Amino acid sequence: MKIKILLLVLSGFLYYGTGFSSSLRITQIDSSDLLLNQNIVLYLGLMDAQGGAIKNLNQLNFLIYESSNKKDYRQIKQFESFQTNSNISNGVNFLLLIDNSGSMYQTIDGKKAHNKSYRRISIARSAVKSFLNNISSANDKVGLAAYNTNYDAISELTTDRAAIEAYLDNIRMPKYKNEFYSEIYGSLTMAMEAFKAIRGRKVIIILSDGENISLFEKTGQPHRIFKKKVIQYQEPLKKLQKQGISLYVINFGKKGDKKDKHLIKIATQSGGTTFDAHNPEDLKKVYFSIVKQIEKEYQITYKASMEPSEKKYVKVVYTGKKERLSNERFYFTGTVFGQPVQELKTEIFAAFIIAIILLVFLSLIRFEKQRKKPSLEILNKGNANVSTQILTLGQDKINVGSGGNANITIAGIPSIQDNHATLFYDKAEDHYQLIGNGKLTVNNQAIATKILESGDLINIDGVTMVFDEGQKK
Amino acid sequence: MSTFLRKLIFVLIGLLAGLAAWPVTEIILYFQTLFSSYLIFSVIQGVCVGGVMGGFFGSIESITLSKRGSIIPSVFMGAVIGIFGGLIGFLLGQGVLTLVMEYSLSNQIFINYGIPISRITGWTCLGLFIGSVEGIRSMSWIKIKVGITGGLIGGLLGGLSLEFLRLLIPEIMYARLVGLLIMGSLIGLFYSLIEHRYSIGVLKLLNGKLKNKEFLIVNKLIKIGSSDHSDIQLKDYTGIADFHAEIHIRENKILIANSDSKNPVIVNEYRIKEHLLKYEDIVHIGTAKLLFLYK
Repeated sequence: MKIKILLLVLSGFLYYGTGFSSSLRITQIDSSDLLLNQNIVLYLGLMDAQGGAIKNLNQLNFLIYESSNKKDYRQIKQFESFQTNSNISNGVNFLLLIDNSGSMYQTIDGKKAHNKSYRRISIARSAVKSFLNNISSANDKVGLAAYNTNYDAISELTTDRAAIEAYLDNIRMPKYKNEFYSEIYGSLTMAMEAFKAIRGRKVIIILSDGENISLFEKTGQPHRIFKKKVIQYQEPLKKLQKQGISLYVINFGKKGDKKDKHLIKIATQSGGTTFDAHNPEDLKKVYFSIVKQIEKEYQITYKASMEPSEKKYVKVVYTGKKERLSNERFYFTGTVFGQPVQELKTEIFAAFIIAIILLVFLSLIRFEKQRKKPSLEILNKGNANVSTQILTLGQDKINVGSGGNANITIAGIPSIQDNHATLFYDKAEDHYQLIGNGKLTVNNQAIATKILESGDLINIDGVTMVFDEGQKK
Repeated sequence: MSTFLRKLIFVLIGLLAGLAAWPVTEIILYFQTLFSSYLIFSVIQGVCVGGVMGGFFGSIESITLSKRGSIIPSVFMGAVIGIFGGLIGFLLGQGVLTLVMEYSLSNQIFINYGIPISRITGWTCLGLFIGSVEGIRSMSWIKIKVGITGGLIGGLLGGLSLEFLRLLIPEIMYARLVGLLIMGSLIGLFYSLIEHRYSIGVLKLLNGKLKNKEFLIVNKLIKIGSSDHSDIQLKDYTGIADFHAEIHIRENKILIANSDSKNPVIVNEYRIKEHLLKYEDIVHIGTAKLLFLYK
């Protein structure tokens, strides 16, 4: 069995699409623990020149640097943890995304398939079943989705492999012409929903037999979900990077078939890679290779630096006996309060001082002012019209009433007399005496005459006024 | 001071609180690298912003009621409450962030909206605590309720505008300034509006140096006197005891009682021990005359 697996691995790497040189890839950056514990988790894939995983390394083989500007890198001196085989113990979350466009119902050579088993889709089903048998961790979860013009989420992530096998047979040939296209970028964008509330290693493996073809771009008909929007490759790439999901691409078809030119960028920039498969055996081996690559990844956890930036660049340098490899990626650092200014300008400090000065000033202002001279001030005029709101008292005699000659004329209330009340100033006693000619109250008491005190409230048929003696000398 | 002017001063002091919180925010952000983690960094930010804003809001009551002697202790107490507000506000905001994160880690909607929503939650909690500064200081449950409601609405709307402005104004420094100004003034505005809604009457001074000052009746117990510790302080009038009279709210009715045996309380020219206040009653305490009005 072991020999069989070894042979499979070795032969599988012969199909590794990007060549045979040694490579180091940061396959995933998990920053979900950054805000609470300051932790960044890196998943590292390290392959030798023969395409095999470089094993038995320790943390001394790795150096990690962080930068906020991609120029000035600072070394991370201490790792929180260094783990090998963590993906076996913790499990990997795989979403298998299968092309279900019209061409998948042809033979690998692009001809009409008289026998269903020669169809590309049948070969893909068989390869996926083989993949399900090869994943070794009980904690691995697999989800299944198919795409053509539309995205079909067939199964959410599950450890139940038999269920996934059964679901494979639910992939049905598209019925209508408009379903035959390949909305690869749009489908990738939707595929990421499968990883809702999922932590740990996250991988999408897409099997594609062609290029991205947008329904709207091709036919002018709006898409059921994307409407008239043509999804560009940058959109799924950015989302994969933000959510720390790596994309592995399998270009399936005969040699020389057109491949999507952007999928390789999405794969490499999201931490994954691309493979070509030209026959059923190739396809099984490629799926197997992907599983083995991921299982052999190293996991390093470290405390992130506090340099302010929207993005943090991480550079990993591997030093082996013969070689030195490096790889660089970034993660997003969402700070709660945003980014700082470049320099603390004077206006920033001035704002604080101004605020304090204005507060002191406010606390010193007297919002109430005592009137200097005696006055009568209307407080509530009710339904009446009054000739003046505040009358400063300077005369010896003041008339209040409805008459036009009154010092304060109150119009509109029939019960008020022409000269309803008179206010006399007594120079000798220095006080004002109110004499009512009609009905009135002072401080809610009916009076005929009263020597007024400051603050007395006079009420004449609902019109209220307050007497103020002003500042006495 | 009319109730309108009182509202205006609440808004003004809210604006000043936002203005003072801005440099604090910028300085802490500037020294981000000195912090050991994002968590500590953000907690300190919340504590400092809360402390400064709380201090400013703590001064409002002393300023509007012309109680100059109690301004500094009020500012200090407001700052302490604001520090707790900032701390708890941030932790709750952070808690929402973590909770949402757990359930929608890979959801694009969360990335677009979840983080701003959790930040707004933090600002709302901060507003809630800052708003309740005066209530806690005066140990008045009604004022705490007023502050919680006003602060919550102000904090929520202010937080929303802060997030919105971050998108609108690329010069992030000024976005934060405008956002903090809006948040501070909205907390002040909504506090005063809610306070007005909760109050069941007004006592208006008719004479003397504080003529036309209006005192809202919100608390269930209001002490009137010349002491710094009285709720309605009549300092520039004569014949007034430290604690001269009390106003009680009982079943939505307002009762005034004499609390000093030597100095009388006169209502409508009659000396009273207790009296149920009605519209346009004139309360005579020492040389001060107050007009009772329903709100």
